[in-house]
Amino acid sequence: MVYSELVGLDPFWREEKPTWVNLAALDVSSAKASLHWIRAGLLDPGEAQALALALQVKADWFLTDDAAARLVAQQQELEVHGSVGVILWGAATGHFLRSEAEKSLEALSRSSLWISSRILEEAKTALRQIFS
Amino acid sequence: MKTLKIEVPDQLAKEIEGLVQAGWFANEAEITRLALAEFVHGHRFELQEQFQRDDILWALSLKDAKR
Repeated sequence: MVYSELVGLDPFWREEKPTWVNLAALDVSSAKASLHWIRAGLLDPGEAQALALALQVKADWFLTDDAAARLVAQQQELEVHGSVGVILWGAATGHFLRSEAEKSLEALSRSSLWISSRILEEAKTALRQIFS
Repeated sequence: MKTLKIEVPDQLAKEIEGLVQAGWFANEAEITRLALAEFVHGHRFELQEQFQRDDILWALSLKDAKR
């Protein structure tokens, strides 16, 4: 489901899928778990299947910007982070230069992700602290 | 699916029981699931903001840990 959503958004994912992206199918019990979350009205199919897969493969992190998915994932004791967290993590751990991190935050604020001006300012302040 | 065991005040329990008996819901679990889903949808932006703030603090703690 997640893959079909990606391909639907941008054919790049079908034509030039990065080699580090592995496609995996849900086993029966994971598929059942995802169906429960969907039927209960808690999660959309994409989020439900992604979460079920993260639990199935015992992922170190589950990355999502969906509040409901994050809440359910945390209840399942997964470590969860969103886009803001990934950018700041990259900066804090030396994977991003300051200019790259700032550019990514700006791009994020112009994307379809909901981020308040208050949080954007806090994230920028955090970047300044990280690179001070 | 995770099972939650919760305690509710007697009055609320009676109201829930009444809704089930009146046929509005199949059982008490269905009401609880619906209430949780409503809460999540109703507080989506507040939760989103809280989670983003959690991530900011998490990243800052990583920076501090490196020192």
